Amino acid sequence: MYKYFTIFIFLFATVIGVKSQDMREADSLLACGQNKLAAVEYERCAFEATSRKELCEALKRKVQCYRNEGRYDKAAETWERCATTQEDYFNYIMCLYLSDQYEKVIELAESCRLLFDSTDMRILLLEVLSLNETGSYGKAQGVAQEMARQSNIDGTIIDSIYKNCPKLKKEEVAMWLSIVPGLGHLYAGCYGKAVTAFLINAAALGFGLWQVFEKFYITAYIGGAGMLSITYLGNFKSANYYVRKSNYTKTIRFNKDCKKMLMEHFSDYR
Amino acid sequence: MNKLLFIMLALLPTYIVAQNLHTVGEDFQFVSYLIGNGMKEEATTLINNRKADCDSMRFLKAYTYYNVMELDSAAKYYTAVGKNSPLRTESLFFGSVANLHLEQPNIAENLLNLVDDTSAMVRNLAMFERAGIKLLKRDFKGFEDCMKLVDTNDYRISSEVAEFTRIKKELQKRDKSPLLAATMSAIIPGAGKVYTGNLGEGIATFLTTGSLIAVTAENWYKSGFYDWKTILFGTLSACFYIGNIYGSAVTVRISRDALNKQRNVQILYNIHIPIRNSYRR
Repeated sequence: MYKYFTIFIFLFATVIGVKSQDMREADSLLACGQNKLAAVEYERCAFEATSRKELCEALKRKVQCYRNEGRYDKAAETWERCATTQEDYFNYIMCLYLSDQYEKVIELAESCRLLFDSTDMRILLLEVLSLNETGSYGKAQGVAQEMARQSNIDGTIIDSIYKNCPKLKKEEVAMWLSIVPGLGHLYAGCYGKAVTAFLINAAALGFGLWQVFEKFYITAYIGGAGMLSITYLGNFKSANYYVRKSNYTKTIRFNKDCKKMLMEHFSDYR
Repeated sequence: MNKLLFIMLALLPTYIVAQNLHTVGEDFQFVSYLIGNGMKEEATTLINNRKADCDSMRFLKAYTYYNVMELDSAAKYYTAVGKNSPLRTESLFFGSVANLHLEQPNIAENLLNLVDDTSAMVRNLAMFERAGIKLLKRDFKGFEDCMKLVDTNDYRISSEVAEFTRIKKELQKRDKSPLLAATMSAIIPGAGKVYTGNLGEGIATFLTTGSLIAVTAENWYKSGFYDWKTILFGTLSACFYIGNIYGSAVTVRISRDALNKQRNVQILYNIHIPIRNSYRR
């Protein structure tokens, strides 16, 4: 009886020993900078985990491997499987932000308000930055004001930052203006291109009218009107493209400055 | 004896910890888990760091590469599984499929010839696969010869046999001729494209070329042959007309290639299914 009991203890010790060895092996790989292989070994620990705690521990270390590799998308995917505390969620949201998944950041930051009693200011800061990236400046200003209130910062500072937020141009307006060739481009702020668009369309229309005047009706219809239909429709597409481009440039410029200023004022939550 | 056993058991944990080995079986389970959960990158990283020092590991490597669609490596490792391995037959079948995906039907056929399992089920499956390869090679006589030896009542292949027969009938139909398409387009611009089944493209070609010819005719009639507009639109019409003839011939060739590719995909699919079902993991 004693002998079998001893055998059982040794077998049990073997299993435990091998399991902790997996984690140690992964740790040593991580320490050697073999991040990809370490991530796989941590995943193995998660695969073999017998409790939620073990699983989360392995996955959190796996996140570290991906962060070392700069693979924030993979890190975010891993956080999704193991985030439980507010700190975990902050790290998860940070990885999402660093992998340019702004919509997800906003969604998750809102969920955090429901999940936890007090909102982490760092999560709010990431939410503001993500709202800026998606061009939702009104909402971003609101969240930034909420942060200012909680940190006892003067709200007028936030207003002064968002006072200069870019007024984004609407593609629909550009489309309607493009009924007169070149006006859509003017609205987008591309003056040279507006003149070119106007001249090309005027040339096509002029050729068509000249051919009508000369009684070359087929040439007028196919040569003039055919060419005009191509240049006229192209003028709509082109105006929309330049509005998008102009909005993008303005957004990038403002977001860069805004991020810098917000970081200065909320330096405690960096 | 009992003392020896006791000492061995006592040393076992130390041995395992010192060796830090995962058995191939454990790796297999883990790789299946990784692939099943979409972590193909992790599976490849793990397998790249394993030495192919035994048949089971070579098979595991091949299995992983096959699942992440790295077919070159999959074919290499499936082929390397030794003759005495119990995984040999399975490896030869999957190696054969991997080579077919790599457009190497001769190698695939040679691998099937190496299958030395004498069981009726395996022999039948191998013969069915050979028939599929003949069909891929468009060797209809060879296909018929193989099919005569296939037991079509085998539940694993019965529906695929019907598919092969259908595909063979389609393949034996006469292909569309590029010359006929070009001739049709020369008579009526766009007709060649309609013949290949591209009705919309045919109508568009007809309208474009027809319109340009009409404009040329109008200018020729009213201003004479040497008027700049006649020359301009005439040149454009000629370009479009010739382009339309050439385009029709090319369209036939492209659609024929696309159809052939589509049929090859169907054949490969039907070759793969019975193997996958026979060796499901």
